[in-house]
Amino acid sequence: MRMRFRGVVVGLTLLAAPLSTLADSSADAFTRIERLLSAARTLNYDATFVYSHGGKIDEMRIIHRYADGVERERLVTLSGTTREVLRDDTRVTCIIPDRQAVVVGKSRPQALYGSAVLTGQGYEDYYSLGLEGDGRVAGRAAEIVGIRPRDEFRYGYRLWVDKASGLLLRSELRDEKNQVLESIVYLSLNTPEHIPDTLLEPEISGNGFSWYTNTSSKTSTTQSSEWIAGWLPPGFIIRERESTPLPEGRMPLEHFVYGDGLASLSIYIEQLDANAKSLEGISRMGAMSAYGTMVGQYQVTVVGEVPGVTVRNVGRSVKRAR
Amino acid sequence: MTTEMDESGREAISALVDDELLPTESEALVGRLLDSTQAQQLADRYQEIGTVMRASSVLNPPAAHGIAQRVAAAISQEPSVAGPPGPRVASATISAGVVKLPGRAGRDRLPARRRWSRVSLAASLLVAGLLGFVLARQTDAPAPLAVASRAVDPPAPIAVAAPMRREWHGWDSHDPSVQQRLRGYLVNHSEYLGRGMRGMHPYARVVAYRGDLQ
Repeated sequence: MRMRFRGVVVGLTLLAAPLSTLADSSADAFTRIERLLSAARTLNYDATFVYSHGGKIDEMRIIHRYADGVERERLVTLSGTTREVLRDDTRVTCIIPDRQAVVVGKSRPQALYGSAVLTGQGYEDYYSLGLEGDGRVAGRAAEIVGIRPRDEFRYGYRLWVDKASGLLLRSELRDEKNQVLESIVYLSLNTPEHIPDTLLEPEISGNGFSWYTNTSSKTSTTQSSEWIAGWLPPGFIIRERESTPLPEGRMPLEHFVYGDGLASLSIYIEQLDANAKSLEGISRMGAMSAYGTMVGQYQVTVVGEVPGVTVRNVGRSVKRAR
Repeated sequence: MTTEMDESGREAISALVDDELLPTESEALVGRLLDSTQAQQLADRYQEIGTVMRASSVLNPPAAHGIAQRVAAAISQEPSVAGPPGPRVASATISAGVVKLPGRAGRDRLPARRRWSRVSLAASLLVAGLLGFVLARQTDAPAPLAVASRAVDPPAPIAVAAPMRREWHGWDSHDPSVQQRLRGYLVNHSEYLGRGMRGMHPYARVVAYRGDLQ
């Protein structure tokens, strides 16, 4: 009897060990992601990286400063045409010299999104997390974190997280066939104590360019609207709804943002002029998918970092409620 | 199933090639195709087409359309059309994605009653290629690793019985006014991504988007 009991204990222990290991790995991966998000927001860094998407490669530099609770960031292309994105806690400025354009948008409150990633929403129903070994990027030791979707409506990620700083060193965004759609690989990473203002100023003045400003919007987090999305991927909830002018002077009727804590998608609804060209069907650029359809005189466009089937299904379910 | 597909069938197959169908939709469609003995014979015969389509379409869906079009084009250039697959017909060969049908002399020996219309054979080749594509994917391709094993509840049903044919486009292939609209959406939506996985640099997409230059 004692032997049988001992056998049961040993068996349960052997069974429980892998489960425990899996749970530990998931918890550890979650900890790495939390650290990554915190580090990306609160550290100073000056880095160069390669962004690969759709067979194209771009080299970029990112400079990020966090001082006195205020973030400032500058992203600039190092290959091809110079383009820059400047952002702080209140606005985002995109300088596009080849279009002689400057687009100024509103920066979103950190509280809405920064701390919400993969927390408090039952993310384990939609993703499985795990540590997938060690790696080395830009001469720095990294831990690899895997984020795998549990259905076909969202993408997966592999993240190489710097052991020393917690910052991202490499990322891969993978589709349902485990093929890489986009990747970012750091070539260099410095974490200076101080970043001067000069490094955060744009190289391009924007003088003489057309400026498109959109910093005013009416926002809410309710879905009260005459438009309804009849279907959303499991776990996607409304994050924000706004009626706001989009860049370049256009006025969407409605804009909804939905997310599962990691992936997000937007639904834009705007009335088109009679002669305006409409977007019909699915388009994609790297990991970004878009689906367009006309509902009466309204162009419904779904955009998101999700598979094509997701934007298509959401787009086809959008209708006017009244 | 006959080789004369109706419009909804063509749309469904195109959607399959475009990778626009959910796995459940794909399975239903493949099941319909596999119900046909003739289709299975064609699938065996033109398995090579599937191999080419698989190689071309997984990462580049528009190329799959190109292959289908090249298949149809190759057939349309033939002065006469071969009969249904049988032991006396030389195998089709594929070179650089173009299907080359057996030589004219061999075809001329076939009874007229066994000749098909060009359209129906083109459709058959497409079906066969798709079947080869799907079967090869089912048998040869490694199991997807990206989707974790635990399933979630299926979504509420939506109208997927007759999937619409929607071609994949690069964002830079649209009319300039549509590109402009998409660019605005991209910039706007990136801010929400930026507050998600902050370390992923969503604005890399914005500065990398060159569609408006073309």
